[in-house]
Parts: sequence; structure tokens; C-alpha cells
Amino acid sequence: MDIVRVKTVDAVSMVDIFKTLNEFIPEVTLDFTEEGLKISGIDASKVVLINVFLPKSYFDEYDVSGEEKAGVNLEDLTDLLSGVTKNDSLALSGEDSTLTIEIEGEYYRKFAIPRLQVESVELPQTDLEFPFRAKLITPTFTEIISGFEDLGADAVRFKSNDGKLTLTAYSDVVESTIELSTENGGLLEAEGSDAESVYGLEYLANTTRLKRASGSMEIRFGTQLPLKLRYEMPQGGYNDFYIAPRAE
Amino acid sequence: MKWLSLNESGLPEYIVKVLSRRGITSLNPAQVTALESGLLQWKNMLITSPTASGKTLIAEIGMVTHIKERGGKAVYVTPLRALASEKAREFKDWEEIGLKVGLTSGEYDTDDAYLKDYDIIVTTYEKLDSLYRHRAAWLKDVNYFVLDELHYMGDTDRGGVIESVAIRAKRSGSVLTLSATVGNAEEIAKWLRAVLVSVAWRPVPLREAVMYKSGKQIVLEYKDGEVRRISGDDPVITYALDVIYKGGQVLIFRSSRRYAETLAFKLAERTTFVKLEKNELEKVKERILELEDSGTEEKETMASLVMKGVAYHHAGLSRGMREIIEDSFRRRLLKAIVATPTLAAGVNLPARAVIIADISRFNRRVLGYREEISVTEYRQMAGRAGRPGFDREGEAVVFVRDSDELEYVKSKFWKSEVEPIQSRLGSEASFYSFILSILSSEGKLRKEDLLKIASESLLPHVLVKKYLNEGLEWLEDHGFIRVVDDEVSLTKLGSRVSDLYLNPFSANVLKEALENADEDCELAYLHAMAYTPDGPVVAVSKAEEDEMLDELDCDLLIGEPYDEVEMENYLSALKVAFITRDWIEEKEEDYILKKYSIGSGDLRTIIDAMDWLSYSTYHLAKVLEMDDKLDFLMKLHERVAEGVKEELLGLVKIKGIGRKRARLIYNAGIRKPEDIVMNPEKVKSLLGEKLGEQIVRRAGEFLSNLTR
Repeated sequence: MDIVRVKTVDAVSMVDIFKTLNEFIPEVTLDFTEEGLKISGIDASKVVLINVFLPKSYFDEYDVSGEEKAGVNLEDLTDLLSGVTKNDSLALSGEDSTLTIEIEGEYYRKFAIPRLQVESVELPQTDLEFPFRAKLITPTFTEIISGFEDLGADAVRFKSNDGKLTLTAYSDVVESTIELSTENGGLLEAEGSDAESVYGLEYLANTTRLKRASGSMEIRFGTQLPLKLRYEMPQGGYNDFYIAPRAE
Repeated sequence: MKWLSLNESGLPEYIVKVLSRRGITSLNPAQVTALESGLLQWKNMLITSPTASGKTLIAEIGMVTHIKERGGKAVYVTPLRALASEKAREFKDWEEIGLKVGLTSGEYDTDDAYLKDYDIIVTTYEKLDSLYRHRAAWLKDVNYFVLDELHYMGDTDRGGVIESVAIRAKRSGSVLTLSATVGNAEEIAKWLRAVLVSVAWRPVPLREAVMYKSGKQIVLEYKDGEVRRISGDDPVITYALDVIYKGGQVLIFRSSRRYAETLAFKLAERTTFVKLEKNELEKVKERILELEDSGTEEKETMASLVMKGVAYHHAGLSRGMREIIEDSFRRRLLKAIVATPTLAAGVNLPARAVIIADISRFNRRVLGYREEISVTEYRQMAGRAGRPGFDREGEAVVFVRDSDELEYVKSKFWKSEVEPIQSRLGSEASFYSFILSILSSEGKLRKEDLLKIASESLLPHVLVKKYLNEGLEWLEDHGFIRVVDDEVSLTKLGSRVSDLYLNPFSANVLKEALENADEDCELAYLHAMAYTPDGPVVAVSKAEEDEMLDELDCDLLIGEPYDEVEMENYLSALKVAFITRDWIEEKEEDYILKKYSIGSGDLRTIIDAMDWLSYSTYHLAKVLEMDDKLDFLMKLHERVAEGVKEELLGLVKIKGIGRKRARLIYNAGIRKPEDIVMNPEKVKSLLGEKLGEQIVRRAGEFLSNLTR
């Protein structure tokens, strides 16, 4: 009998979330709680801390009582899910030792993968006080980052000054600067004091696959503090990434 | 391997009382074995066991029972000053049962007569050797010796002294010797006429592994056969973070200072999400920034690192800085220390995991400056893994960069025997010094008696005979000893050299320099002092070499050598001379550190050595009756000791006034102690109310002592 069963009609977004996680962590624990699905972890380099929350209401069906944890190998999972299309729905259900995945669209597919014991790492509190906060639409951010990648940069300096946010991508040989503000329409909201920090471009780029699943996002950071990227999901869900600053 | 409760141990009540107060309820297997092997009968004993197996407690039981039952004094000898103070602090517990514990180290030209009132005396090998040379009267009351970390006898520089102390100890009383595991323990025990007690027990089990990179994975192959894979880019960092994020602490050893620093910074970039006690670390940071014995840049760099839970540790750091780092690591505030191998030899700093990131280490003395770490050193480092009370087991991991070396590394560190200890008295410098030392404590000796004592060394007998003959000839030729009718004794010069704790070769360099000197050039004298075998050594770059030779403003007292290695020493000595001259010209410490690319620990080492060498040069000139040079040399010595220009020498004689304060008040018109007493308000306005008042009082005391 299923201990857990959840279903979403937006299979593509769910797969994007898994693929994004897979950029950072090979195995995660899906933590089904009464409030919703939680996934958290830290990448091997310990530079990126991830916190995902998809509330009960994000799903079209959410049948969980108590709490149930299922460890999965993301590589295996995303391989299985590589063919989903926008007309597909996706259901996850857990039994004692397996996790069953059902995809329904033009035709019906069902897979079962083993549930793993994932070594749990104690994660610190992330209730950091960030001096600067901005809100923007997700494609603005993801397009800027993809442009920086094309340029061949390897780090991005985030700088807030007078409510403006300046992103400067650079490497030993290239440099590019983009200014975002509420005046020029790049930002929806901006508040806080001046700050400056540098983050690795590769880590930033690995989060941008969420551009389809998320409509708007929030950026928070501070001098010598992590960068917090919150990709907002429907129904109050979110994908949070905390990226550690680089020393200069 | 058995444990024994304190009550069943049969130890005297006064021992049980003190140990119980420490919270000790039972004796561990190493301690039980020592008891069973005759510890309480005070047999000569050589105990070899891993670090942190409770050897110190064995020594305490031996010393205290011997003093209580037999009377006399006990001496506890360690190779490092820091260790001596650590032990002396621990031994204070015995004052509760009426024993007095004294500590003496540094300062070689004294007999420390006050120690006659102490029961347990903690000291270093060098200091004990120098006390013998000064024929300290209380030494004849010492009848129990603890020789700690005897494996240092294999150290090229210091082994000779340790061996000569061991020879003296076994001639004077019971000897308890403690050592890490050595290859020829039986031979050493026989030499010490001691029972060998080898204990393999460790308080925390040790797991050893080798680590290498295989594609995108990092592989750990454990000695017990287990293989573990973790994903990540840099193996050392990845594994260290793995331990840290699971709540452990890590010690990482790198072969050079530069490497240690770089790795610490790289690691600190990855600890953003580690749970750290930020408030406590903030306090550590404040302590660092307030340090008086470190340069500004060093303090700022380290302060930013510790906030990330990481630090580096090497001899270039000041003592104060090293102490803060060690203390914060013990308190588990710091999660990782990246160190050079010197840390392994020093204080006890256990961690859950030890990573040996290089299988070679930097050594200025060997060709190419790299030498492979020995099995002994490996054991020393690995032995730090596993913190009693915090870790279930310790892990010692060697990182192998080149996979071709994998099998070699495994067989070397896991399967080979630890290297044997060999006598270091085989070098001329140590052996001749040893001869002086014996003659100065024993007085006049017949050649055959001298040979008898020297034969108690670990060196083969034939070699002893050869070295002794050569040594006596050289020492006589150079005026340190005289031989009359087969009787050998020190000359006035030899006796002074021995008291000064100067190597005879150093004394000879200085003597020749003094004879060559016809003008009073500070730099030339400082160069000669630094050029002696007792002088400090620094690295010199090609650019520095050119600049120094360019800036040379007087003739040196030592001619330029032809030999390439000697030339390197010559240039190193020149750099030390320039550093010392800047120091006595009152250049700012930050300026000196930057200009010569040295750390504050290095500067301290250089100044301490030059302080002693300048003192010795003065006394050599005195014994050689070069009276016209005495005034200049005394001033030079005082300036080196205080780091001031001549005009400040009067002021720095007052306790509490160092080079900075002296300059401050001097520039305000206060030029001598009398001026302080006459202008108390001015002094207070310059130094602050509280300190000013103290200084005025001390100046008053100083002046009344002079007139008395």
C-alpha cells in the first residue's frame, strides 16, 4: 500500500527542479510532510546550500499523513524523466523500499526505483540578515547569467549602490557590467544598504534551469555574506539557493 | 590490555587523592603496564607508546612517589619550551600535597640557585645542559629524571644535547624515559640500562587511509580494506569539509608555510555553511587584533580567517598568535588548522581527522630543499587523529598526488618499521660541545676518565675514541682546553664558552672576527654573529642578495667563502645582520616584516638568538682581554636586546618601558630616568594616567637601587 502519493499536472516543472538539484547534489532526500514537500542539501564543494519547499497546495493531489522520507539518486531519476512533455502529469508514490513514478500524458509510463538511505548532513540555520534585497522577474536574471556564460566569465560581482544592483561578470580577460534598478525596469523592488560580494558564475548558472518553473525571484546578499536566490513557485513554493562568497 | 580502578591500584593515598580531584577514576592500560613493570620500584624504564596514552601521568606517579619515599628532587625534561610550561602547569596539582613545582627554561648564563627550594623542576634539555655547565649546586640533589620525548635524540640539531643529558641522568639517578615508538627501542633501553615497556594502546582507535583522485571521484582506501568514494574537485579540501560538516575537526599538514597559508584560505571559502559559534569567534578575533607580538598584516589576515573557523599555523607566527590558535582549536571553535609538520612535534592538539597533504616536507638543509617525511614523522602526525572524549575513532589520511606512488606510500607508512634513533653526537659541532660540557661540570679530568664518560654515548666505541682524540686536539689548538700530563681542563676561554652555552665553532668564528675587527661597524659584527653555527637562518632571494651587497657600507669581518653552501650561509647571515640593524635603528616591526618577508615569529627567533650572541661576543671579548672593544659591544648588545638607538638605553632600563614608549617620551624631552621622576605629570599625559603613574614609581625605584 502506498504510504505517500502526490501528483502534479506540471510534470515539466517538477523535472526541472530535479534536474537543477542534480547539478549540485547526486542524492537527496524527499521529505514529504503534512505541509508539503521539502528537499534540502549542500553540494560537494560546500559552496551551495539548497532549500526547496513545495506546499501541499502546489500539488494537484497530496496524500501524506505524518512525515515520510525517501532518498533518491537524482541522476537515475532525471534519466527516467528526460522525456516528459508539457502535456504530462507526474505522480510520485512511496512504498517501503521503492519509489514509484507515474507519467501520464499521451501515454502512461510507470517506473519504480529503490529508495536510498541518504547520509544526512546537519545544515546550519540560514536566517541570515541580508542588507540588500531585490525582486525581479526570473527571465531577466537567467538571461543575464546566460549572457555572462557566453562571454566566458567565471565570477560575478554583485554590488548594490543607492538601490541599484550592478552585476559585473569577469575573468582574467573579459568583463561585462549590467545595471538593474526599479527606474530602468530591471527590478520590481529594491531595498537595503550598499554591499558588495563576488560569487562563482558556474554556481549561479546551474540554478537557471528553473526559468520555466519560476515566474519571479528574489535576490538577497551582503558584503562577505552568501547570495540568496529565491526562485518563487506557484502557491507560495520556492527553491532557495545560498551561494557562498568568493574571497578576492 | 586492562584497566585498573584507582582504588585497586595499590597507589599511595597521597597519589590517589590528587588524581581523584582531577576526575581520574582508573588507570589506563599504558599506566597499568608501567606499574606492573616496576614504576613504583623506580626502575630505570623506557616507555614507548602512542601520543595521548597518558604517559605524563606515569611520570608524575614516578616522580612524586620517589620524592615522597626517597627524598631528593625530580627533574622533568622536555624538548620544547611550550611543552615545559604546559607540564609545569599540570604538575601544580601536586602542590596540594606539599610539593613545590618550578619551571626554568631559556636564559643560559645562570645557575638558577633559587631552585634549591623546589621538589619538581620542569625544564628543557638545553637548559638542563647549561645548568650542569654552571655546576648548579642543587643538581646534586636530583635523583629522579624524566626524559620526555626522547625520540628527539634523532634530531640533527638538538639530538646531541639530548643524548648528553641522558648520559648525565643515567649517571646520577633513576631515569624514566618517555618516547614515541622507535625502531631500535631495545637497543635504546639497553643503553639507558632500562626496562623496556612498549604499549600499543591508544585512547581512540586510529584508522589509516590513503587518498587519491580517480576521475571525478576521490577515493579513500583504508588500511582495513574498506574503500570509500566521495565526489568533489580538490581531494584535501573535499575530505576536510566532509569531516567538518559531520561535526569533526581537522588538522592538515602541508610541506611549506606558503602552502599551508594558501590552503587555509581556500578552505575558508567553503566553510560558509558550517555551524560556527560566531560570538565566541568574534572574541577570538578581538584577542588576535589586540596581540602585541604580531605584525598588523598578520593579525588582520588571521582575524578574517578565524571568523571562518579556519587558521594556519607555522613557526613564522608569533608565540602569542600560535597560543590563541591552539587554544581556540582545543575549545572546538576552530574547525581546521593547516600547519607545517612542526606542529606535529609540538603541543598536543588532537583532531578527528589528520590529513597529510604532502609526502615530502621543506628542509633548507637538503639538496633541492625537499625531503620525504619519515615513518617516525608520519606516526607523529597520524597520532594526532582522534580526540578523546569527542571522537569514536580518528582518521589519518595521506593524500597521494601521483597514483604511481600509491603502493609505495602504503608500504612505507603502513608496513615499514619506524626508523631507529641514531646518535647525533657524531657531528663535530655536537661532539666538541659535549666535551666542553663534561669538562665544565666535572672539572679537571684524566683522558681515560673523559673517554669513559664519552663512551656512555650511543655512538660506537671506536668512533668515540676517534672523535675524542680529534676533538681534544682541535679544542687545544684553538685555546679552549689545556692538556697537561694527560689531564684535561678548560682554559678560561673554554670555561666561559661553555657557560655561555656557545658552540666551540661559534666561539671560534667570533674570536677570529674580534681579532680581525679594527673599526666598530655594527653590521660587520652582527654579520659575524649570525654566521656562527648558533646563528639564525633565513631565506635569501636573488634580488635581496644584490640589494644587500649594494647597501653594504663597511668591510665585513668574515671573508667571502668560495664554497656554494657556505656562501648561502654567508648571505643568510648578512640578511640577519640587516634585519637586526633595522631593529636597533628602531624601524617599525611592520616595516621589517614586510621588507624582509618574514613573520613575527621569525623576527622574535632572530632577535632572541642575536641577543644571546651579542651578549656572548661581549663576554668573549672580555675574557680575551680586548678591553677597547667592550664598551661598543655592551652597547650593541643592549640595543639588540631592546631594539633601540643608543640614546634610549637609559630609558629602557625601567621595567614597563619598551622601544615604543621610550621613543615617545624621549621625543617629548624626557631623556633619562631622572627626567621621569622630575616630570611625573608630563609622563602621565604621554602614557596615560595609570601607566604613567606606574612608570614614575618604577623609575623612582630604579634610581634608588642605583644609589644604594
